[in-house]
Amino acid sequence: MSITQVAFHGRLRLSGIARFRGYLAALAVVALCGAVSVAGAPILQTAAFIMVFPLGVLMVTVRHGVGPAVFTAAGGVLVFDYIFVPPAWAFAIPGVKDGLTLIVMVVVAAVASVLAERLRRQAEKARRHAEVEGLRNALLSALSHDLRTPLTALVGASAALCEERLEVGQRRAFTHMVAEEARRLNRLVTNLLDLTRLESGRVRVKQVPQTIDEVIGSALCRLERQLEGRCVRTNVPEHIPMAAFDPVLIEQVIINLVENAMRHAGASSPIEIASRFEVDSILVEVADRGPGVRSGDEERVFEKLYRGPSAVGDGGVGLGLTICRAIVTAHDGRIWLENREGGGAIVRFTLPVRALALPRVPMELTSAWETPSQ
Amino acid sequence: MSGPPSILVIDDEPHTRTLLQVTLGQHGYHCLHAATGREGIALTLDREPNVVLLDLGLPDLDGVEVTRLIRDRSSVPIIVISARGQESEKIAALDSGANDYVTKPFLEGELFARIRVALRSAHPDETVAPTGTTTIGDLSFDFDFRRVVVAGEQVHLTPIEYRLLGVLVRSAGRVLTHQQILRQVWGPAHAAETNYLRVYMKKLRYKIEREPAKPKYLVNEPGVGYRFRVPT
Repeated sequence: MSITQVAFHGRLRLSGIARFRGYLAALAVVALCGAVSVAGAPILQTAAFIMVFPLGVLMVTVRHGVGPAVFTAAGGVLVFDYIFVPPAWAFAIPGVKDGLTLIVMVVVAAVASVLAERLRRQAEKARRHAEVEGLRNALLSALSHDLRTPLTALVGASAALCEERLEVGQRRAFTHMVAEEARRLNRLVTNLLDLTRLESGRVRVKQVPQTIDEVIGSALCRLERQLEGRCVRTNVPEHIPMAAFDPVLIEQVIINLVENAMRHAGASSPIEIASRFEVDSILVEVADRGPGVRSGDEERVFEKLYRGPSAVGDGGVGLGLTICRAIVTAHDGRIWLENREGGGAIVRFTLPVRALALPRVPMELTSAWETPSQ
Repeated sequence: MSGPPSILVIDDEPHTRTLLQVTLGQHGYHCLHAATGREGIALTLDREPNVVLLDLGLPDLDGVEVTRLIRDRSSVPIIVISARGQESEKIAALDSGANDYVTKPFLEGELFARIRVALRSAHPDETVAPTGTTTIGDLSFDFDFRRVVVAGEQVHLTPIEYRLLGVLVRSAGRVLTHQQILRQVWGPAHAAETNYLRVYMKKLRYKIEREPAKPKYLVNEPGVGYRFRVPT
């Protein structure tokens, strides 16, 4: 599943409300068709206004898909039966002639709706394809720039270091430059590899239950050196249930969020990491006391290549939060950013806790196996 | 053995070999190197190095295969060099006898910490009961009296928690895969029950770590296992 598809997935799931609206529309169309046919009955023959119903089905299909279309067809049949099949204005088992009319009506509706649905899917696919293509091109051009910047510095600085005639100060400056740019390149490549892994569909969200505290712990261990001297507070209560997620990817989400906080919030800002259980999901939050984001940009920060106004030349590449969102969405979770009261930004994400076969705390007394010391 | 410890580097990248040779030399180790798996195995048997650093992506043989072939004939500690995202390869190498791993790009300090641990506890014999008291940082583990003290205070552990911590302490500094821990604590029949392990690791962390989500000792290696970290 590609990043963009992941994003679309989110949109499709939101369309539960849209689907409900589709059925409402279907109901309205059935009522309308009934009204039109009742109004038309004295003037026209049954065979003519009967075509009003498939037309309604077709319209519903084009806008709302197969489900509401079937609903419309069924509704149409009932209405037709109720109004026109003798005895009129009552439900009745139709005779041969009316039965045939009903069958033709259903078949026409079915064929029309299948064709219309196919058309709708193709159009949707083409639109998505174009959108994905556009994103990919933008990403590629921005990436080639972001990859070349540290590479240029590395090539230049290391070539200079090969020279014998450098002063001690220059030599030291170039050495630091090489180290810094190499780290930046490493960060970029790590994020890119994650992106590729996600795009290529090689990421299976593992269904192995994990505990969130140990993933937060391992992320902080990996960042230990960078976090040295900074106030980092954690608040992770013991009784948070397990959830199924990919520990390597969620660790990367936490690392990206903490690195973001370090880069944007300044050296003196404390970083707070907390987690808690909420109804049916685990919530993790990373908060800082930096400047926060420009009001109104809370959603834009997750866009590919978004860079905050303070982010110029900070070694970031504008991919970190995008990858976080892709990873969290692939886990059916949600991620969002808010400005904090009193200054700073807070990013929260959720991981759903599905009905897991949680281990009954077991095996405390295993008699078959004893330690060698006994 | 006399003289400085010797370290064999098996890596097909000439630059990595040069880099390791220089830094190992600076730290007082004698460095041998091989560019292929076969050459590495031959050198291991011939020169008997004290530690082998093995890159997982060799041109001729799969790193796991090299580990297995070396392990057939030698108990030299093997530290695998791997990339992030190769969790299953890491586990396969560890399960076929590698002692530890570092993830590329690694920091010098991390590599030398692993080498020191490998040299110290080349191959802990798991069938011999440990005795005495092991002290690491502010934690002390008394194998004789089954007492665990953290920062001067005794911690009450259930038998399983005690056994689990014991296994980790005995391999302090070294990564243990989930399976290795499960096998040692619960027995070979339960090697697949990673959930139990997670539950108990969590309990243990909340008992002995001051800040369980920012652990000092009981460190998680995502997708691979756990490591009892020795503070430097």
